[in-house]
Amino acid sequence: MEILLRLDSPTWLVRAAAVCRRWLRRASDPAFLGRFRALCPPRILGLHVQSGSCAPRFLAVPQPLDLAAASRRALQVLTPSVGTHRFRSAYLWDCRNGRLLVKIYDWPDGVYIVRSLLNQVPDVTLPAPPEPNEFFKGCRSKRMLLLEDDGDVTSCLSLTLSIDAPEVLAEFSILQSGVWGILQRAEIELEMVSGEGLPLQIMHSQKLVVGKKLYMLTYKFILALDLSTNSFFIVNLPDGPGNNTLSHAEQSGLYLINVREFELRIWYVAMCLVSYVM
Amino acid sequence: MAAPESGDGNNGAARMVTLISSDNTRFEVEAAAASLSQTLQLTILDGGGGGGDGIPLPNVDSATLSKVLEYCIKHAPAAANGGAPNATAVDRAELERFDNEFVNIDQSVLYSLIMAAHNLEIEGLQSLVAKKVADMIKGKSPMEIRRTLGFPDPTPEEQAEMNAHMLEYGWAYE
Repeated sequence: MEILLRLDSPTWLVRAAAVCRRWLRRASDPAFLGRFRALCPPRILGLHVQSGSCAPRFLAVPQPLDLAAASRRALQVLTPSVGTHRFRSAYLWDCRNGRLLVKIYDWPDGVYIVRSLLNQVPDVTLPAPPEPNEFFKGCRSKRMLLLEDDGDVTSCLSLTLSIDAPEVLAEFSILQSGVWGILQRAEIELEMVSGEGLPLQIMHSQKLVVGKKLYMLTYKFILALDLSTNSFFIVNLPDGPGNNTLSHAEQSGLYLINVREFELRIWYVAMCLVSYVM
Repeated sequence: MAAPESGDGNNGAARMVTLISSDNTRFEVEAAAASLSQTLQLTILDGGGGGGDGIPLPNVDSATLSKVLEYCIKHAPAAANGGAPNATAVDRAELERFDNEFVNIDQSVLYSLIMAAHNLEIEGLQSLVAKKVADMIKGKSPMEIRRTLGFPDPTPEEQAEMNAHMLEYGWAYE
């Protein structure tokens, strides 16, 4: 379908997909979409800012004409407007490929929903994630993360980290086809000196899921959790502590981005063998 | 326009082949130009199309074939240079100018070209005409696209699907 491939903009592709069933089928084919993305790489519509307990804010990035409407729609979805009190007490947990994982605080307690950034479809409410069942005397933090879509919009990970230095216990469950899996657990004992701020670091660390692995960035190393084998492992930072951040790589994989003064250094962490390629 | 000597023109005159359109018109062209078509290339490599034989093309009429060959003759020298890595900017600009003018044609001719480029597997021509049609439908609504391309009016069922799609992806229609 050489014509659809050359439309140069997702907006025109969406319109063309409505022309007839044959075109819709072509335009929905994953192989076709892969080729389309290669010719017309995804662009950032805007940045989402969530600071503290404030309501989420969306900052639009200036767009060419054909994407301006998409950006406006995203702005609408993410910006709380007066009167929609439902949204004022919402907290954005994660965002992935046009899906938003939002917790809506509502008496007596909150509910998680998956909202589409661009499609005018109703929110999908998630069943309540399973509660961690172990008593643990350390500090504890809960997190929800979206997993790769694969046609299942609600696929996500619920994670409870319980930290009693130097021990870290993860209890997690994966939501698939709307059903939470059995609660899994993994443990690790960290090498650390007493009084170190590591436990707090891990609680508040940046967390990213790539494939079946969860990465948590601390100032010392990346603590990784393999969700398929229920085991922790540690990825050392190639250049020691610093001003680091993690980011999804194009296909599957992970970028570690390091900022030193005006120098930006990016490492690529391959999926299985944990090696760095700069 | 005379095509310059191509890489395989080692015996002085370039090798010629004859193509026969669906309405029985014979076209004599250099093998190098006809070889831009993946389908023809195989036949030509096997030694076909020479002499009085000719290669019949039952799916392409003479008007379309002459247009196709106009493209092939123009693009053959660059193709012979292996995508022309050493072509000058002037050469490239000239090809681009030619391409733009080449697709500035009636829609019916454009559609016959799409079919011919597809059947004959001429990669450059395929992407050139696809790009032209893509440019024609960019920014149009699904209904306008159907009209532009001469599709029949949608059935009520198809219309309902179209409306549902437009509702779901409202942002794409603002």
